[in-house]
Order: sequence, then C-alpha cells, then structure tokens
Amino acid sequence: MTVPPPERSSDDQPLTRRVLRQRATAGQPVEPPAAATVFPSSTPTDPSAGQPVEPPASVFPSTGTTFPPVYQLDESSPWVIRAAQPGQFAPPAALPSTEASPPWASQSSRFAPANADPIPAATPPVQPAGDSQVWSPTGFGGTSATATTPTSTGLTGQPQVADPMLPPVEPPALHPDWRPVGAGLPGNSGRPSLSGPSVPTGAPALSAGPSGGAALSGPGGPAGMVPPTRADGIVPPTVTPDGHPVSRRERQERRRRHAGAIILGVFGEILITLGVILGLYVAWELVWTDVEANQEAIQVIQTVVDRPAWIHPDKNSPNAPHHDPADDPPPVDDNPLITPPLGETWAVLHVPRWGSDYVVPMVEGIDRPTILNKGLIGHYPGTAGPGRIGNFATAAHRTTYGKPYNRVAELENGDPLIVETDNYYFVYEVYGYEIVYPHEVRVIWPVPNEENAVPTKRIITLTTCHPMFSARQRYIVWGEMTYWVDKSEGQLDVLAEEG
Amino acid sequence: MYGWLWRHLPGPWFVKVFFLAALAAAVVAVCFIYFFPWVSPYLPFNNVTIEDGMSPEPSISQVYSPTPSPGSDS
Repeated sequence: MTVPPPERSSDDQPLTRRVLRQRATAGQPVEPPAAATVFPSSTPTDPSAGQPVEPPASVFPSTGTTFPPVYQLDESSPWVIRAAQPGQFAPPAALPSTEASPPWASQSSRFAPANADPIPAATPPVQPAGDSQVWSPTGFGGTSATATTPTSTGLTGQPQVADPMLPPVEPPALHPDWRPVGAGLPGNSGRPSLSGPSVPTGAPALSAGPSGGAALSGPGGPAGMVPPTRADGIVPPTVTPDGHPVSRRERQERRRRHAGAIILGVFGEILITLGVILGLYVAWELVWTDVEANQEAIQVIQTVVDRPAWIHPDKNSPNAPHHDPADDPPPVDDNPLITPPLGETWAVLHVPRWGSDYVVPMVEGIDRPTILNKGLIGHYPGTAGPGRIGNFATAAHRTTYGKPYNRVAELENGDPLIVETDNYYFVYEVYGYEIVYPHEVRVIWPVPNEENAVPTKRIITLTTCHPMFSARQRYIVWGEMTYWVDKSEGQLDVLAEEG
Repeated sequence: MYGWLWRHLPGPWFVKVFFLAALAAAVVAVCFIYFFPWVSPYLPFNNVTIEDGMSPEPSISQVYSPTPSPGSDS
C-alpha cells in the first residue's frame, strides 16, 4: 500500500476547517470555494452514524444515518466524502457542532439514487442549509461527479447508483482507526465512505485504494478507498511483482522457467568466462610471452657482452681479415663433450637477413622453461660447439617467447649466419633447408643425414617448429662455416655494413 | 553468477566497479603468472626441438661420434 501524499491532507484540512468555520459563523450553508458536489445518500439506520469521525484531510461522510452522505469531489484528489451527521459533524475546534437538518437528510437520501449519475461539477446540487457537508477545499475538477452507494460493493471509480437499502459497510479496522483522527471531536459523525467516490477522472478511486492503508495507519489523509478496492475484487488474490494477476499454475510455470533461466544464464556466463580466459591465453601466448622473453634475452645479452672475456671489436677497423677454416682453423676445442654448463651462453647470433638489430643469445641446453621460453636460442647438448667441426645444432621458438627463429623460412642459400663468441665471429652460409618430423634426429647428426659419418665440416643447424603454431613438423636450416674473424683484429665487415 | 557477485559487493556502484576491476585484474594476473605458464607445455604449439623419445640427449649421444679433430687446440 502506498502512503497518500501528505500535502493532500495538509491542504485539505485547513481549508475544510476554514470553510466550516465560515459556515459556522454564517449559520448557513457555505459553498466550497471552487465547486463541491455533495451527494446526499443516507442509510438512516447506520449504526455508526453517531460516531464522530473527522478525517484530517477531507471529511468522509458517514455511511448512513438520517444524515445524507456527502460526496466530496476534489480536483486533485477526488475523495468521496460522506457528510457526517449534521449535528455531530464539527470542525476541529471552531465548530462544536453544526446545524443539521434531518429533513434534509431524508431528502438527500431520496435524492441520491436518482442523481447517481454524473453531476456537473459546477453545480453543487445539494447544499442544504444547516449542512455539515464537507466539500473539497479545492473544488472539483469540473468533471462529473458520481454518487455511489455506501456499500462495500461499490465500485470505485465507476458510477454507481447509490442504494440506500444496502447497509453501510464499515470495515472493522477502518472505523477505529479513523476515530482518533477526529481529534477528539465527539460531535463528529463523519465516517469514511466505503462507497466509491465520485471520480472526476474515473481512476482515482483505484489509485486511492492503497492510500487507504495510510489512513488506517494514522492521520495520513483522505484515504479510505481501500475497503472498496478490496471488496470489489479488482485486486486479484495473487499478482506478479509488476502487478499482473497470475494463476497458481502460471506462477508455477513462471517459477520453473525462472529457475531454468537462472541455470542457463549461469551456464552462459561460465561459457563466456571460459571464452574470455581462452582469449587471454592467446593474448598471453602471442604477446606477453614475447614481451617477457625479449626482456630476458636483452638481459642475457647484456650480461654476455659485459663479461670480461667478451672482446669488443674495434669499430674503426671494420675490415678484419677472413680466415678460411680449412686453411686456418679457429683456435677452439672441437671436442663436443667440452661444453659449458647448461644455461651458459655460448655466443650471440646475428642474422642480417632478419635485420641488423637481430641479436639473440645462444645458450647451452634446449630446456624449454629455462632457456627456450626465455627468448634464447638453445644448443643441443652433445653437438658441436660454435665454430667447431661437427654440427652446431640449435633450436629456438618460431612463434611466441621472443620467436628468435620466426623468420627462418625467409633464409636463402648464401645468407650469412654470424655466431659471435667471446673472441671470434663464425660466419656460416646457409646452404639448405628441410622440413622433417620431430623424431628425425638425423638432421642434427655431426654430418647431417649421414649416420656415423666423421665430420669434417663446421655445420650449423637451426631447428624450429613447422608449420607455425604447430608441433607437427620441424623446419631445418643448415649452414656451413665459410670463414671466421678474430674480434681482436677488428669488426666483421658484414656487421659493419649492416650498421 | 556475475549478477550474484554484483549484488553481494558492498557499496555504491562505483565501489562495486572498483572491486570488480580489482578482481578482474587479479584473475588476469594469476592466469598470466601461474596458470598460463603451467598449461603451456601441455599445448602443442611450441615444440621446436628435434627429439627422439622423451629426451633429446639420448638421441644425440646415439648419433654422436667423438672424433677429435686435428684442428683442436688447447
């Protein structure tokens, strides 16, 4: 139930009292300021007629005694007011009692059924002398007024013929609650009308229904429409939250559908969440791993070039002599069993084909979490070291984790692969590639594809995945060392040219 | 699920948004730092090495023929 607007009562009451006061002083009927239509409709035998009640906002006429009920129309709040018994209805203080004329009451009772139809607003039809009728302080809105019977079956908001024969309905809860509103005026006989109000707009009676609860709860205002609303059955026994009546079966079906919708919704949310997580994984794999791996690779390079053994070639002498490994082998230990510990950086790789700024450390070991996933190039343990006779076999990611071998397919025969160690540049020349399956270890034999052959050449092998983002095959690139450069003798011309 | 979360977060809507953003950031962080690196080896996207069996070393030693080169130095 909704609480009636407080201003309604606050507006009405002073005006009503004022009017009553005027009437009291004048000793004759007082016309409402605007227009009030009073419908006398009395049930002479109303037992509650003598009970003084004065609603604070507007006066609700008693449902019947000898006094004609007064229907008050208000423009803003069309409340049906039924006048109290004339002699007993009194304004709060100024009027202990007003003059009432019983003959008028009988007249009005006869009048009421006949005039149940809408009555022009401008005509205050029945305003007999000695009245205790109450009218709307604001007048009524110029629409038709409708008299209704003071019965519980009176439809609110609908014109209804007053039936004086029906006993007035007096809801037990309503009446006692209204009583204190009367502010201790024993003379008042006004009671809230249970009959439907004469409604200018037709609807206010329904809207006034909830406000009746406030009237019951206290001197809230001219509510009092609840009982008719309840009684007339307009409000169904069960309503949905949005006010639609539903049957029990409908409610059950709705509840079932609601539960299904909840389950389906949660399922959908889980699927959406999984989709988002998968998308996050892709983003992590494609972007974040590169970011992390590149950072780690840069750190490794920094530590490598900062170590004391690392020779920084003189950039002013870029044309260091090329040494043919066949005639002038590099001074390195060719024993492949002599290897640095896992994780130790052998060298860094320069590939001009992949850019002048391509520099990636080459580290012992092909463990993925500790080496390959850090953006480094791994060296197969047991294979020849850089510059040594045999197969310098390496592996690196082609996608993600820094993807050092991302552009391996762009290499062409003759492209230099420059392995820079502490003291030397080993320059390999690409001479072929092959796509193999992962178990074909022949590609990293000391002499590729020749089992148990004694190596005489210095070979480099790049192994990476193929196709990209797949583990189905491996992409193999071979290169053979064509010359080497002592870094102490100057810069490598290829790198110097690259910048 | 998210409706339940929204209803059970305290405060006005911007506080709820803040909590949700923090929660989302925490989930993303956990995924990036722990979950994704853990699950990545089980996904066949990044196997790059030539292997024979479980570990590449046996295959390498199998094919390795230690033949000291005359070019070796000390």
